[in-house]
Amino acid sequence: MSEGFHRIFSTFFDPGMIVQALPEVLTVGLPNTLLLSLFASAIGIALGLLVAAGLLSGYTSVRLPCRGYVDILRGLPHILTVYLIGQGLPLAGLAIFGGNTYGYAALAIGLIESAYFAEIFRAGFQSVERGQVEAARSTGMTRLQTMRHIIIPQGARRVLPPLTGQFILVIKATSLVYLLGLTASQREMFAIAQDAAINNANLSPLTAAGLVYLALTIPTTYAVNAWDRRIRGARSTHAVEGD
Amino acid sequence: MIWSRALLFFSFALATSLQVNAAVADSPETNVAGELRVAYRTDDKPVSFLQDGKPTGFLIELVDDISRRLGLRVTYVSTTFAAMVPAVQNHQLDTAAFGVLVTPKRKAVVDFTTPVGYGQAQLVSRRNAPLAAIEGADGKTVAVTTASALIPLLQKIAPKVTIKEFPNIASSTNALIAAQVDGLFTGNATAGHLVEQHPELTATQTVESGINALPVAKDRPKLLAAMNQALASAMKDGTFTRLFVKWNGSAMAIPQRLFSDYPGMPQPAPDAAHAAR
Repeated sequence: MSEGFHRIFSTFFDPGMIVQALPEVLTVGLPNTLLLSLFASAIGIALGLLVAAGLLSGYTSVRLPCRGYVDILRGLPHILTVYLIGQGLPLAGLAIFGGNTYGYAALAIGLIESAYFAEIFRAGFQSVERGQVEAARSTGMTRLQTMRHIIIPQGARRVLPPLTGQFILVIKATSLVYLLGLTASQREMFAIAQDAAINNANLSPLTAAGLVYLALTIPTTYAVNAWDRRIRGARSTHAVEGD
Repeated sequence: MIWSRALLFFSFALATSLQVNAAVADSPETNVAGELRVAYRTDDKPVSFLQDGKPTGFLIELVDDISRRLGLRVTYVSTTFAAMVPAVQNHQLDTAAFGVLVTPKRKAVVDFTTPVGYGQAQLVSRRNAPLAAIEGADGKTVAVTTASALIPLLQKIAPKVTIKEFPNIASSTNALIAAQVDGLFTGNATAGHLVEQHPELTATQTVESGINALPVAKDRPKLLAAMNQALASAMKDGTFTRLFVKWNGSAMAIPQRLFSDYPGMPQPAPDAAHAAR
């Protein structure tokens, strides 16, 4: 029994291995993970906003391609899209980021996430009360002005909690960058932990990386939930006051 | 007459069954009784790869032969290079049909059979931007498979070369063709195949990398001894020579050190390569 426990412990939680892996995970892996997450999210949010506007368009010729874009990118496994875009673009002669692996990885993850961001924005914009939209139009605002001055400012505030929640998923998706090839200084947390786990034939370095991922994602998740509750509470209070 | 035929058939079936059971009982201890579970790669042609949905290649056929001699049925499990040593160490797999370089770090966690080759790594680059030698390639980026023992070798002989790790040969080849890296460092059999498959690539410098052998878990000494014995028989009766020529052709010679390791191992016939192809 104790031998079995010791084996499980030494396989996953060898303190020496964890301590040995942590400095590189924190000093090299963490900044790279965050950098890639920010780039990918920036691309995802910019494209997601455009696609969300398209999804809400009154023109079928605009709405349908946007719907197709969202369905395709949400329907494909992340690993497949990262590989197709990250390896496919340079192979097809579209080396838009030169030899920079992060450019392709950020674009691939950004494209995937833009589909999810687009749905979040669409839901946020549609949550703005119909009466406000109609009131804006009745004052003479065009459809674009209504979008800019009424829908986006309110909708964007409401989608901040789910957007942050989606950012947590982006952090996790960045581990797929290893598929595209990394130099030693480009490795993010998973790649560093994987290398250490292979070289030491022990999974504890992966546990070390897992702990850092959890230190990032769990507090963010709770903060997002609290934030969401606060916004919902404020909205219901306003609704009561309005009545 | 019918009864005597039935009795004869029954006796034959019983004898066959007893023989099979005896073979399993005599078989060395493996993770699953009577079965040799082997790691293989789907993309390392001509050593270990997938063709028509079946694992095939030089080391696959050699491991097939070893398992036949051991009376074990063989099951191949595709794994990445990186996952292979931990999988053998942790008893998920019994051995690997890869060209695995024997290094001190790997020897610390798994045992190795007697040699199945002497690794020679080769530098592959694009014909329109060739790299003649790794030593002069300072500042260039060279692709290597993650967890390959070629990484420390490359760091030692060319510390100013930037190493970019890829999960498999296919993705590093794509990166080389797309000019995302300047070179690719891999075993010479794989390098030879890549150059044959992609005329825009060229293989230049060859570097001696070390002993290639098959990994076995440290607490399976009987399996290791049985595999060594089967390997020695395959070397002596010409099976290894035949398979080597079949998969590598005349372009590659069997390393001379193997003939010293296995006295009596036959040389390939002068025209064997052409006959095999």
